[in-house]
Amino acid sequence: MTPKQIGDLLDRIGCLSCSCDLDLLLFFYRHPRAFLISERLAQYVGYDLPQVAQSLDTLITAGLLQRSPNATHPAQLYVLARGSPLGGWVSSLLRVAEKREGRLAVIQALKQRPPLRRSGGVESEPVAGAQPVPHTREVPNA
Amino acid sequence: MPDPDLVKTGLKGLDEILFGGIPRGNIVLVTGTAGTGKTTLGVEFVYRGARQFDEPGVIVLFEVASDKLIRDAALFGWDLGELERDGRLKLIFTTRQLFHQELQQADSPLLAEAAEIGARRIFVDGLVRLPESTGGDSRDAFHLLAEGLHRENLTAMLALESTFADPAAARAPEEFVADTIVRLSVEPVQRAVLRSLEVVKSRGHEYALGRHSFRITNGQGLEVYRRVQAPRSLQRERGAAFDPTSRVATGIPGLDGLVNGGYFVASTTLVVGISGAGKSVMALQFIAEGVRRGEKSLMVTLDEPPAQVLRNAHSIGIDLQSAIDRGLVHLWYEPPQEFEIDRHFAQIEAIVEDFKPRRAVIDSLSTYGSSLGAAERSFRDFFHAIVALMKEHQVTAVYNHENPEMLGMSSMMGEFKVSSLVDNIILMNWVELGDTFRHALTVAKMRAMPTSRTTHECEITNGQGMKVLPRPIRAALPVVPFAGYLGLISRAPERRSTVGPEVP
Repeated sequence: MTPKQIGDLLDRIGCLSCSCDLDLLLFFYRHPRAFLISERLAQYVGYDLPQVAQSLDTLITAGLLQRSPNATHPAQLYVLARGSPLGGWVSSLLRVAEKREGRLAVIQALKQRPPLRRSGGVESEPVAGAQPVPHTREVPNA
Repeated sequence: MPDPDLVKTGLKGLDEILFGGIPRGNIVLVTGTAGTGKTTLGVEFVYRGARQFDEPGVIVLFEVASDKLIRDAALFGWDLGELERDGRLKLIFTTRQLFHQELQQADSPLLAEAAEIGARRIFVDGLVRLPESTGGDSRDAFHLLAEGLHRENLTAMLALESTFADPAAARAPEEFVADTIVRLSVEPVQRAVLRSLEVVKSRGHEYALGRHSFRITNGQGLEVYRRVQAPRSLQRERGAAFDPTSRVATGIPGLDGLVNGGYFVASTTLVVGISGAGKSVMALQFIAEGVRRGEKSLMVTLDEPPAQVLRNAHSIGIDLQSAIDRGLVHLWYEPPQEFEIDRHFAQIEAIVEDFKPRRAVIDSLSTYGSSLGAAERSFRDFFHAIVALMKEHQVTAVYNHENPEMLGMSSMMGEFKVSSLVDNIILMNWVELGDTFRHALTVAKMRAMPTSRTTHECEITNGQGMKVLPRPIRAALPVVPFAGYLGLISRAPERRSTVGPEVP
């Protein structure tokens, strides 16, 4: 897929703005129903907790992810929303991004996009010391 | 006492070993080292439940990603994604710690997920023992987990990883708490490996003891084969439904007269002889006689592939292919390399039950001996089982056995200590007359029938097969009473110089 096509896909999906958004989405693509505490989730994807929290909100607000309603429980059940209106575009993007080169290309495309307005304004950079990072994923600027 | 409510696993062969299934609500611990098949067994348990028994299920994963599990299950033809979409299955990825915590919560969101689809089964993949060095109490932790699963009324299968190949060393404290324990192992057998499954305990019902072998096959899943030594539950009504005095024609001209009109129905006949003595020819004629009478026959060949058997049959005027096409003969070939004897027996059993032959030929018994180790208990147990199977189904069976020695009754069975199991023994031999080896046949044993034990000449003719010539081979010297010989017990008698009167 060309960078232009990736950019078009990102435009259609609309909500993704950083590598953490993408990596969380990829994580839930492989684990569509996950029951985890957010700290563990942050370890799995290799970003710091505030960043993960913000990306989770992004995905949930966009209707790509559902979270169990009991916010007081330390662990949450996350379910990838397969039937979302964006589902087709997201699936196409994830099929590209599940390979290493594809993921890097999508992250590059995200970097070149104008910043989306989102609350909090946390930088989208992976945590250098986050452990463990699954599948020795490479991230830009790492 | 009412029968327990048994949950059928749906795994081929396993419910038979469990005598119907697992008591509902039991906690089943599946133990084994890496690669023994724990995940496949557990996933199939949940898949079959949702698919075949309308029992939705949950699979809890700690390390394996759901997409990989779905991909791997597809190799067996199990569409887990479809079951998920239909609300009959949930795959939940979590951590061991969370899972343990959740089972101690009365209002766990994780367990609420199971309840939402009315789950009756759960498989938890990848439990590990708490290391003793950390002060963890495995037994207590497992007890809490089991209580949580009981509360949810789930029949649970829990895969517990073991790092010990030796079952004694692998015994975990969790085993005392679990209701049912299924131990999986992979054992080296010469240069091959054999998978085996053992039900170590199961509360609330009986099951078949011992280690049974199993296979994991693409497109199917697990298939468990009851160990061949396990006692069979004989169908007594079958045994009562035939006349044990009726006879089955041998198909060899001249032989029926020597065996009082034929072998008894459901009898076991061993045809013993050196290579080339005519055993396979006799077997083909026995089958052909069945075809002529419209009786179904099974031929199990281990030494020769089907094309060769068909060619051999053709050379003595038997159109075996036509009999196969008409459904009168089932020719089953299995190469003897790397026999899995439990599986092999299960396949013969299935053929006998489905095809319902009246006659059977096993060619040859010596090949089983070579593969299993003739001196091994497993060979005798296998033979015992197959004899019992044939008798149960009233199949008149002939077993060929190659004996490398030409002469001597003591060597008739060689190292194969199974002669006590057979009803009839026919000894095939060569007799050297002039410059020619000629075929000879001796009926050495006929259980419940008188036999002369005289040696008869046989003839094998192209296009016609074997026949027993009408008179016994004349002894070179007149036969005299025992008193006329020395060395009778050594079976190398010599005549005394002064002989008594000739026996009439």
